[in-house]
Amino acid sequence: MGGSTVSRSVVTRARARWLAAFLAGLLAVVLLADGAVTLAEKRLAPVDDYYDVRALDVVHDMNRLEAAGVHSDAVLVGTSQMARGGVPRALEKQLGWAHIHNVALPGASTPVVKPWLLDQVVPRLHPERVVWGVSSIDFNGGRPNPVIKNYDSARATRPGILGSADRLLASNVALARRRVELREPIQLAHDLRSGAPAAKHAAKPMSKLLGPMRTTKGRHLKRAASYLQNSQLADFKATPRYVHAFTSTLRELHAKHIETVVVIMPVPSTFRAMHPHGDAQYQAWRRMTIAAARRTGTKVLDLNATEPDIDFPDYVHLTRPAAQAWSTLLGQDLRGIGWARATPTAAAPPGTSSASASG
Amino acid sequence: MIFNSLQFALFFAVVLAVYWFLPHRGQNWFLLVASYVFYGYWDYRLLGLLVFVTLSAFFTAQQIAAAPTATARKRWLWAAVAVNLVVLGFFKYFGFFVDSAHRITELAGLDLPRQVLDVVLPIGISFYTFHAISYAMDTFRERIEPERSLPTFALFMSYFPLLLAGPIERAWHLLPELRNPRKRPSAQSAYSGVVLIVLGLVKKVVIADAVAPIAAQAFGSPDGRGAIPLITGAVAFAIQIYGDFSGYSDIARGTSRLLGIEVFRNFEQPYFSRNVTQFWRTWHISLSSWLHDYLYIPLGGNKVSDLVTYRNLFLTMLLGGLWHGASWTFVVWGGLHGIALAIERATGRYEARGRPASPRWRDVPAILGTFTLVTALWVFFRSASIADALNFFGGIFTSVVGPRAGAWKGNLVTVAAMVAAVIAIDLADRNRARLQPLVRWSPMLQGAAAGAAVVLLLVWSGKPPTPFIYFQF
Repeated sequence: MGGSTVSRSVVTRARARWLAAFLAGLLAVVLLADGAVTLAEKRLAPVDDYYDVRALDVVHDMNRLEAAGVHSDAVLVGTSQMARGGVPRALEKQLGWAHIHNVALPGASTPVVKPWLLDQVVPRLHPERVVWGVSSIDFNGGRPNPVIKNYDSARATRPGILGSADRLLASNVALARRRVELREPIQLAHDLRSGAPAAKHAAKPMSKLLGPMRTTKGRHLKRAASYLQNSQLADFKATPRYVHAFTSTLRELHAKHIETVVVIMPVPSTFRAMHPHGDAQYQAWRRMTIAAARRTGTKVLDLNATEPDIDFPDYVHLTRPAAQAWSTLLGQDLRGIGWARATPTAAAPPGTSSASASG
Repeated sequence: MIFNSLQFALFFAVVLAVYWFLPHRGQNWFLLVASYVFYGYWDYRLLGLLVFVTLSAFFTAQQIAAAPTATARKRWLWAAVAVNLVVLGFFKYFGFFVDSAHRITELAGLDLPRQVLDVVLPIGISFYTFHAISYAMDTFRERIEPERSLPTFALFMSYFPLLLAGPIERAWHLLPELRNPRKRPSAQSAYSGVVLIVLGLVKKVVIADAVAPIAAQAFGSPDGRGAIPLITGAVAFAIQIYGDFSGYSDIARGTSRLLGIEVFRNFEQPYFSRNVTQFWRTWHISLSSWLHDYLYIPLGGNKVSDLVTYRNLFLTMLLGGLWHGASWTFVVWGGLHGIALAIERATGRYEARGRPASPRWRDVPAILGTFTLVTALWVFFRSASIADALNFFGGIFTSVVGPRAGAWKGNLVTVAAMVAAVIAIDLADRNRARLQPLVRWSPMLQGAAAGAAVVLLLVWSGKPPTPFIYFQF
């Protein structure tokens, strides 16, 4: 009896020693590796956690605005159509507000706009109003959409428990924070040798992210048409997922008491005709979208046919002067629905004011 | 729910926590329910097919055992095999045959309308139908008694660690384990199970997923890349498929070991093989031995004339290739392996079954030669069509580094690093004690290895889990 107690305690002690040595080895490797990355981190560019460099720029900009205590009078969301077509200064002039911000992202279909607006924009800019520019492309669930996948895969915007866990991990562990760089050792070695933490891109104020359109000609125009037909509008179908993302976002904005207007973005007749079933399909989408938005109690401005075809050099985006004129028109329409009351303004930090954001 | 996902980690933690508190019968029922939940998580509608295959295999085996005459036994065996082949053929090959027939009629100048049903491929179908066929054959050969308990048999068919991508178990091996009460694994056995799971995750998440984009790039658009980027891409795929599949098998073995059930080892360091025959003794062992037992031997094996033996080898590998999927690329891949095996047999290179001897320095040229041949044949396996594969080979001879080479230097470094990792893991594995991997190392060194695995998983995780390649087969 006594012998077995002794031998059991010997076994227990041996196991404890084994476990201690095992943990020492494990922790030594993990802590050394993490320490090395933490030290090297100072020579690297800031972490890029967003799916797209433009999203990163907008977030940097929004962070500066948030730090300065700026609340948006209104934000413009949507895809590159709104990013290029919505000129904040023109709207500010019409509405008499100081803080209108264009946070639209290229390729941001409705399933992307929802988390982007509700999780990234609203908590930072606390907008009183939202102008959501939509077009049929934003609802096309009939084609594979890599932007949604990329958005949901990026660390900063990855949804669910895994996303939260990864963000928590990255904020505490350099190995996880710098995993993208660590996966490319040659580039990492180059970055470390070059020393200075050169940013991968110079952050620009929001509305300067996407320059106004230049005229597209010949080969490029053909390519744009082919891309539109064979990719963006291919198998066009406004699927329930996309429609639900749209209506549920509108409902959530209402619940947050954020006044919202849906704007049917202007498109040329060529764009409408490029739908697999032509203009009729576009019109069906337009009617469906307007009805869906109105069912949520959201006002709709239908500006789809306000611009002549010549203002769309690539079938989708407005030229610079056309964007300016269209934004003025949008401002007038917004004023028409009672959006022109003056609101108190706060000082904006340099480089993020609406003046610089006007593009 | 895939092995490299958080959902599976939570699922398995719950299964493990409940499992060892249950009596033996309860354990089997619980594992059966867990397996159906695991499978239904993919698509609950496909559970019906699994249940149908299970029931048909169960009852036909009873009939084989009870049949009064040899002829009747044989009839029931054919019925059992036919049901599985029809299920497999319809779900996996229907489109392939219709498509091929249509092409032939097109070549003959006939423009017949093509009506192809869009048939869904039920995940794991190739694995569980092969379980069912081996069960019927073993019952017929009186190697096993038919299982009397339907729940136990249903568990044999659906046991979740093996359900989606094997290893393909045999009734004579797995059924007794399920039938008899299981012992709780010892500390050492449990530890080795955890090591297998971690090792499998490293193979999949770090090694396979790291080189996957390089392979995808090379095979996606080989034109203008040149020899070095394309060869790097081909080696990347060789490493990817090994890391992916052996990683899956390791996780399957590890999880199973924690449940007190030992399953087949599926790989024995195949890239250390000195010839193609040895490669097939060490690669996807559960499939190659299945093909040997249930196809090669019934065809006559090597107990016939030399020519017929070569034909048997060729046919076995051809059908083994077709097992991977309904595509001519798999058929050509299998056929070329069959030719290589026949040539090796004709030239007197015979490899005994079982664990091969450790590689020696003088084996290096033969190992490199075999790896080169196997990698070249992977090009057929990975390409979307035969034309794509030939285009890939053609691209190698256009230039050393083409104008569309991309970041080939970085890719080369990544692939070289992963090749080195595979060699290191396989050499360590080669020296293992059966149930005590790495046990000869000091505990601190074992901890350091675990630390290295944690570091690698931290760096290479953080993205949505990618499915295992063999799920599509």
